[in-house]
Amino acid sequence: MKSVRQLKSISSISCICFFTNTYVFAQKSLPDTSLLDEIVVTATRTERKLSNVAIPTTVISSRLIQLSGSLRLNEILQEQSGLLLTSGSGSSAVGGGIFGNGIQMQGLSPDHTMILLDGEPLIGRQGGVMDLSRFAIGNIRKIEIVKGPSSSLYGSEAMGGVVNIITEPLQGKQLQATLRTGSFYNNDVALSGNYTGQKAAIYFYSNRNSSNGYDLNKTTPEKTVDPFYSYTNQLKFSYNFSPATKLIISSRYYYSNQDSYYAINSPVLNVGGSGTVKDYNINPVLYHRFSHIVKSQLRLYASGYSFVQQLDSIANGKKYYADNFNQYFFRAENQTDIDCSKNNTFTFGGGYTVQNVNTSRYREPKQQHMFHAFAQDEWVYRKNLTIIAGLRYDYNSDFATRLSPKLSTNVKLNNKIQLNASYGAGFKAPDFRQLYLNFLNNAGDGYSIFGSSEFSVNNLLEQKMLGLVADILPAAYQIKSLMPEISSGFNLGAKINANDKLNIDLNFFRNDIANLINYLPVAVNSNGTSIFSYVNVNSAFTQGAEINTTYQLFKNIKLSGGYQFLQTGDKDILEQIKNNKIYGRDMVNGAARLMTTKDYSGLLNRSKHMANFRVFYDDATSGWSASIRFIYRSRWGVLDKDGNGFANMDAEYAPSNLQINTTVAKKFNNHFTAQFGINNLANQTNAQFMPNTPGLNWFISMNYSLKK
Amino acid sequence: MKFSIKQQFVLAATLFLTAAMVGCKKDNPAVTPATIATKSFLVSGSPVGAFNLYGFETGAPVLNTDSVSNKWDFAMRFEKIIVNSNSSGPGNAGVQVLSTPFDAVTTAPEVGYRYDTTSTNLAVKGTDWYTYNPTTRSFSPIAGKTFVFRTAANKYAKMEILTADPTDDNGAMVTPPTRPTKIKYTIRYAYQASGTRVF
Repeated sequence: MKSVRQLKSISSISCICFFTNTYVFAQKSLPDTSLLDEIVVTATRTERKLSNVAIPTTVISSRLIQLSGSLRLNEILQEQSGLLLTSGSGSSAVGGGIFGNGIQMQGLSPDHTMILLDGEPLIGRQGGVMDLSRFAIGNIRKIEIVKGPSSSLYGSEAMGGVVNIITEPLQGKQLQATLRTGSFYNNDVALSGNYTGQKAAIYFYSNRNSSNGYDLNKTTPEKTVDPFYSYTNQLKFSYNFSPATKLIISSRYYYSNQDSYYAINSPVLNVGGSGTVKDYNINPVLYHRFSHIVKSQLRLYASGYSFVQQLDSIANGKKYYADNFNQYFFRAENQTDIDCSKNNTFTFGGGYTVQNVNTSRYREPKQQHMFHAFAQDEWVYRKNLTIIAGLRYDYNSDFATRLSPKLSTNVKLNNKIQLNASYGAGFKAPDFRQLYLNFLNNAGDGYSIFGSSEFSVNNLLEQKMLGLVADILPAAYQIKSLMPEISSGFNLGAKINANDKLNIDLNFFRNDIANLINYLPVAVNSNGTSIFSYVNVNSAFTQGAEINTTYQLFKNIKLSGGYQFLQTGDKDILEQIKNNKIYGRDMVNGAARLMTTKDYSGLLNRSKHMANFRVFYDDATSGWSASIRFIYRSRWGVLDKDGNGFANMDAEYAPSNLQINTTVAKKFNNHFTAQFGINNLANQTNAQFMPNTPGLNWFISMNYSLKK
Repeated sequence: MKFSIKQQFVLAATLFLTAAMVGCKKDNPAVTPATIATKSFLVSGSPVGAFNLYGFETGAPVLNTDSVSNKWDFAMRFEKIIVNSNSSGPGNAGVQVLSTPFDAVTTAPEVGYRYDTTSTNLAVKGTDWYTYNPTTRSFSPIAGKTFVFRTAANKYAKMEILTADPTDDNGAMVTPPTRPTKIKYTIRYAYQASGTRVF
C-alpha cells in the first residue's frame, strides 16, 4: 500500500492542483464506501488519510449532505453522533440563555467548539455561541469534525473539538441552480458555478433563504421563531503561477434580517422591530512548494461581524431597546511543512492576530493583539506506528500566555484493527464580553453585569460610602484578572475494518476542565438590584464513550448507527454532595432531602444517551435515492428549581426527543434532480426547551446541474 | 391522733398518688402540636413599591392597612423579605435562616434572631436562600434551608420556601421574554401557637 506521502511527492511535481488531486472518492453515487481512503486535513493541518489519523475524526461528504436535504450547517451537524445542537449557552453549570444554535461536543458547551471555514476561524458569537444556521452548506465539499482538545493546532476555543467546513475545490466547469420550497414558506434559491481554465479558476455561490417562521405555542402572542430572510454570496478565485505556486482568494458575504416581536407586558407593552446580522470574510492564501521536501503557505484572513437590533413599542413607537455589536478580526499566518525523511514530517508556523470589538454594551471600543506559534512532528515507524507530538504557544495582550501540548499515537495491529490514543490540552481565552461587558439591564430587574476588567472593588467601596451600593458580597473580593478556561482531554479508541462491508469505530474520552468562567453576584445596589461580574470559578469533567458503525447492506444501501454515552459533572458540587451539604426536593412530597452522588445528574443541557440510526439508498443507474434518519436524545436537565445547581426532579428535565427525517429523490436525464423530504415525522416538539426544532415539515427541491 | 395501719396505708397511697400526679405534671407538660400547612400567595413582582404582608397566626396574607400591627410577621416584595420589627414594623419579629431541612428543625433556637436595621440592611439576604439566574430571570429557592421566626407576637414558626414562580397578575406562569408582574411563592410552615419553641 503506497504511503500517502509518496503519492503526494509524485503528484505535486506533476500536476496543477496539488492539494486536491489526492481527493479520492468520486462525488457520484455511493456515499462513503471508500471513506477510509478519504484525505482529511483538520486533524493535523496536513493531508492525511482518514485511516491514518490518530485523533477521532468524522467526515461528512457533500453527497451525504445532498441525500439528507440539509441546507444549513446546524441541520447536518445535529444528525451526527456525539454532536448536540443546543440553544443553551455558557460554560456555567447552571443554565444559560438562548443565543441560537451552537454545537456541543463530548459534553463541552458550544463556546468550547471551534468552527472553521477552510481552516480559518468563523467569528461572531453571541454569548459565546456561534449561530450555525448562518452557514449555507449547499456548496461545500465536505465537513471534517475533529473531537478532543485541539488547541495545540488551533488555539483558543478548540477545547471540545473543531468543525471545519471545506468548500468546493476549483476544478472543471459547472453550473448549478437549486430551487426549494416547503413548510412555513421556507424558500431557498441558490445559484453556483465554477470555471477552470489553464491557470485560473473561478467559483461563485449565491443563495437567498427566507422563512415565515413558526409558532410552537399558540397561547403566547409571540412566534417561537420570527420571519427572516438571508443572503449568502461566495466568490473564490485561484491562480496557478507555476506548478509549485498557487494563489487562492476566497470571500464570503452574509446578510440576514429577522423580525422580532416580544410581548413584554402584554397588552401594556408590546415591542417589535428587527435584528440584522452581517458577516463577511476575505481569505487570500498563497501556496508555494520550495522543493520536494518543503512546502509553505501564507494565509491572510480578514473577517467582520455586525449585529444590530432595534425594538420599539408597538403602541407609541417609542424606542424600547437597541443593541449593536461589531467585531473585526484580522490574522496573518504562515505554515511550513518539511518532509524530513520518508517517515518524518515536521510542521511549524505562526502568526499575528488583531481583534476589535465595538458595542453599546462596552464602555469604549476594545482591541486585542495576539501572537501564536506552533510546531508538530509526525513520525511513522515501520508503517504500523504513528506518533504525533505538537505544541502551540499563544500570547495575548490581555491575559497570560498559554502553552498547549498534544500527543497522539496510532497503532495498526493488522490490516483490520488499529488503536489510537491521544492526550491534549485545550483552552479558551476569556472573551470580550467576560472582560469588558458594561451592561445595565434597565428594563425590569435592573441587574447589571460588568466584565472583570471593568470591575473594581474600590469602585464599589466608594459607591457604598455614597449610599449607592448597599452590600458588597464576598465574591467581589475574588475578582481579579480573568484566566483562560483550560482543559485536558484524553481519547482512546479503536477502528475496526471487519470486512469490506462493516466498519466499527469506538472511542472513550475524558475531559477535565478548570477555571470555567461564570457570572456571580458581587454586590447589591441600594434599590435591591444585583451587580454581577465574571470569575474563574468552576471545575468540571466530561467523560463517556462513543461507538459508530457503518454497514454496506447491498450495493446501494448503506446503514449507519451511532451511540454516545456521556457523564458530566461540576467537581465542586460533587465535593459538596459527598460532604452532605447539598439538598434537593423530593419528587413525591416536596420535602428537602440530602442529595447523594446517585441523584447528581451532572451539568445542565447534557443528555446521557444519544443515538442515531440512518439508512441511505443511492442508485446511480436508476437515479433514485432516499434516506431515513432517526436521531434520539435522552432527557436533559434544563432548570434548577431547588437551588442546588443541577436537575434532580422530573420537572427540571426536558423530555427525551426523537427526530425522524426522510428524503426521496430522483435524477432525470443526468442534469435534473427533484427531491422531496419530510422532517420530524414524529412531530416531536417542545416550545420551551427546543425552540429551534419546528414540528413536522416538508420540502421539495429542484436542482439543475450542467457539467463539462 | 394515731392512725390505724389501714388508714396509714390509704394516707400514704393518697400522698404518693398526689405526689406522682404533681410529679407527672412536671415531667409531661401539655404539648400543643404546631400547625403545619402549605400555602401559596402572590407577591408583587416589582423591585419597588409596597410589600405583601403575611402572618402565621392566620396563615394568610395580611392587608397593608394593618401594617402598623402585630398581625403580620414577615413581608415580601419580589425576592426581598422583611420582618415585623425594628425599622420595618412595630412588632417583635426576628428571623434566622438555618441550613437544616424543614423536617429536621424540631426546636426553634433560643437566640440568634436577626431584624432589619435599615431599609437596605435586612435580616435576610438573597444569597441566604436562593440562587438567581439573570439570563432566564428565574430564582430557585435552595432546598434544605429553613427560616425560623420569632413572630411579631413572640410565638415561634418555621418556614421553607418550596417554589418561587414568575407569574402574571392572575397567578398564571410566564416565561421569558414576558416579564412577570407577580411572583407566586409556595411555602410550607409550622406555627407553634403556644409560645413554646417546639415544633
